[in-house]
Amino acid sequence: MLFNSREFLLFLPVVLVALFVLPHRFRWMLLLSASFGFYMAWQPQYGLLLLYISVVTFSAGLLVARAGSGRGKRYLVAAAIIATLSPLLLFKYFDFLGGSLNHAVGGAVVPALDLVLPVGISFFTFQGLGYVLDVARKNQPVERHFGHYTLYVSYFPQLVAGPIERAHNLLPQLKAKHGFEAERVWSGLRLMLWGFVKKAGIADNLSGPVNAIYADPSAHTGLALIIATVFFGFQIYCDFSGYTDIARGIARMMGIELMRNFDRPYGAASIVEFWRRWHISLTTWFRDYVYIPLGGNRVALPIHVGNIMIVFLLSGLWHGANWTFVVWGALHGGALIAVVLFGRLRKNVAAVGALRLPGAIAGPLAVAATFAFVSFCWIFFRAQSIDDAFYVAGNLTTGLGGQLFDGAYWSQMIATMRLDATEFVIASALVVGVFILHQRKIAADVIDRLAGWRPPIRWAVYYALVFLILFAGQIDEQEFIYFQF
Amino acid sequence: MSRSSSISSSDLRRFLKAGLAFAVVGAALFVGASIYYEVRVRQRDNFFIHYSHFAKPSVRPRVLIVGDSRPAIDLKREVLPSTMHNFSHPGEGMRQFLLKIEYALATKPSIKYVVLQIDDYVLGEYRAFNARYGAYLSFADIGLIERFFPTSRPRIVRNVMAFAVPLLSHEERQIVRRVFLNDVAALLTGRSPKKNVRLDRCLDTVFSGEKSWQSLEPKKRTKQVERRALNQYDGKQVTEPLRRSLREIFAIARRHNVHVIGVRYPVAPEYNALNSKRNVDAVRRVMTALPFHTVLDFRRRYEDKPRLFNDPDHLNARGARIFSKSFVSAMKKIVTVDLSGPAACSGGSTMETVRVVAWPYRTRPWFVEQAAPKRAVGSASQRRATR
Repeated sequence: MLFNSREFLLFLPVVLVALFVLPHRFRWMLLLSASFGFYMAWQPQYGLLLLYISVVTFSAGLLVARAGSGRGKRYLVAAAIIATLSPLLLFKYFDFLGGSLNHAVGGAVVPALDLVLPVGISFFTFQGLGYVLDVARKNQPVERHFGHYTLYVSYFPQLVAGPIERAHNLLPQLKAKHGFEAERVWSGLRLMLWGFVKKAGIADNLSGPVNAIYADPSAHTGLALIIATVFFGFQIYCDFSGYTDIARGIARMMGIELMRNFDRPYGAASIVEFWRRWHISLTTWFRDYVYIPLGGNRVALPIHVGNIMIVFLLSGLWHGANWTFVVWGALHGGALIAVVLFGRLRKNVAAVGALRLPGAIAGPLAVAATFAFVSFCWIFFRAQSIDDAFYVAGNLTTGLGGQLFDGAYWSQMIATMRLDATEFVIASALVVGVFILHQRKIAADVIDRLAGWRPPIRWAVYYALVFLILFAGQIDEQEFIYFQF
Repeated sequence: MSRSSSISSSDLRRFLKAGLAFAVVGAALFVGASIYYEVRVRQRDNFFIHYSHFAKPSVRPRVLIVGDSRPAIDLKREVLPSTMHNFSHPGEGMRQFLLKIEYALATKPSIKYVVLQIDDYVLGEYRAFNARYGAYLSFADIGLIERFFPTSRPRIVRNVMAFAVPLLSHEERQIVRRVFLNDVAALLTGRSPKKNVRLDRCLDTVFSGEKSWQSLEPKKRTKQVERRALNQYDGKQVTEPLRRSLREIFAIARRHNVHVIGVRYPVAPEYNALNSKRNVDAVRRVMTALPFHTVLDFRRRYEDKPRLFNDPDHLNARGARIFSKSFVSAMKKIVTVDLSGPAACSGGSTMETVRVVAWPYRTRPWFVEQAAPKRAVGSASQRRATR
């Protein structure tokens, strides 16, 4: 079931009303059935997969907690990791690895399974695995109520596209009593509204031009490729952060605060800062469960560099079983390694007064450079094949000089993007608007600030946003990009 | 918090009151947007203008012309006598022809002949793909929709709801958005954009910015023809749902004692050259088996006059005027009714203003009694074929 579907418009109010009407002791049952219903509305049989991850990680938590410490516990944790990751490996990576092997040996050694990828498998697998690892490290008390635990793994607002929650944040909230609080419900609705504006009003309208160009990138050069790539950067941000806002809004109405997943990423002045602001729940997951266990930065420089690259290659693979994602991860990993290697040198250079730029210039320049690099990397994230990605990367400036001031080229490019001139101007203005919002601290909770405005103005803004979604959005049409991960 | 305090608090009452007020104001704004839609979209929509014009009691044709963009563009009201009514609309297929013919014959007893487009693609997948009937709910018999469209009762109900409250439909909202943006742009720049396909002073369908087919390089012409023909003749030539619709047209015509005349419209020489290599026997067999009063084949009428074409299968304004005259004289030779008299829109005059039928849009009962026994909506295999 999609948040932007008609079914969900009925589903959510029914769940919310039932939640506040039911006595507290039955609420977990309601939420659990709603969560499985939400998931199984897509492919009923994959409810078993969700159950499997819940059973495996719940049992692993109990066993690991009882195991004390030592080698036995390590074996148990290793077995739990293998058992938890097995479905992910099977559904998501088997065909990719098999295909790559077949390609390498030049024959069909491994047959393709062609399995349908279960929606959100990477999210709930990581959420369950995170719990086991936290219990093993004694960062999380073991959960002994299977119903409560399964609800933690399957909680529907964040089930299919995160944020990947930690047990210490979500489990206690799921167990706590939450009554009806009007202000909290309004706040949740505001956050949902903002999420829908991002998704239906911005992301879905940018997807048309992006898809038109990326469907056959070799037919384009220069400006068209640059614009499509920049549009994609904002499409994926609005799509994913829009989903997160809707998820957080729904949970907030129930009295549950999910973690913030984005913090104005395009306002980042360095790649390190970008990763503190983009998909925060995944970045911190990799930091806590991969990077730090590998030794983090408290090891020799070559191992530190290796740790960074491992994390980003895994992050790339997490997004999709395709070499394009691997390259995307490697590019980001390479950039972070460059920061580590040249950070000290940069400081020394900056210390030479003659080379130091004034803050008013250096700041925007750093933001622009980070944005340009991140946008370049999106090429590999969006392209359908590695060949397409290299074509786009290699032709970003081809013919650019002539295209910029050629009115006929602009008209043709806009028509190719299936837009008219007005729509193109609006899409560009939305992109610029989001970018500007990311430069201002206020943007992080802009929608919550509405609560302090005078009612007539506040309501006018609400109606404007609702009508923007209704008239400019693609309701019941487009899936969220991150569902596929 | 206990159950009772959760649901009976004053907090909840305040929330519900505010929510209700928000919904009421929202509904009022929605009505406002619907009025904008009515004025700026529906009243300017080519389909509804044509339908509303046809629905006028003063329109009493003896010959009804039905087809897609070919007759819509090639036959001009400024030439056709007022006794011949061109009810064609771009993109329509045999199912839509059926709905129009049933409505026309039921409401205009003056009609004695139906001129039906029978170009070689009219029964193929190219047209079977168009299973839309939303706009046709203005006049169509729901029984016919059930029998000939790949639909179901719940889908019909949804379509009827979207017909009655157009802004419930996502597509209509997208149109409103586009028109609204154009209105804003026109307000700011003083230039209003033209529709690609518009109606002229005679309510004739015309392309904005006509091209000259002749001025194109031969290579480009061939390429365009190939693209067009590939589109039109892709897939099966004869699809069962469209064949059934065609037979139903004859059944309805027979019930009203109306003759059906088949017409193939002029196409550019390059189009004919490509088409002559194509096997269209299956379509021709279907057509031959039907009791057409006459079949008029104009495909090669302008083989030596590419200057009369706008594109491979549509005439330009000049070509359409010439063809319309020739069409009228051909018709006069084969029909027994009097087709003399002035054109509906002659001598530089303008058609009387057409006010599109206003909300609730429909002036006819939803279900019209059919003389023929109603069959089931269609077998599962038929439904699959339709899709």
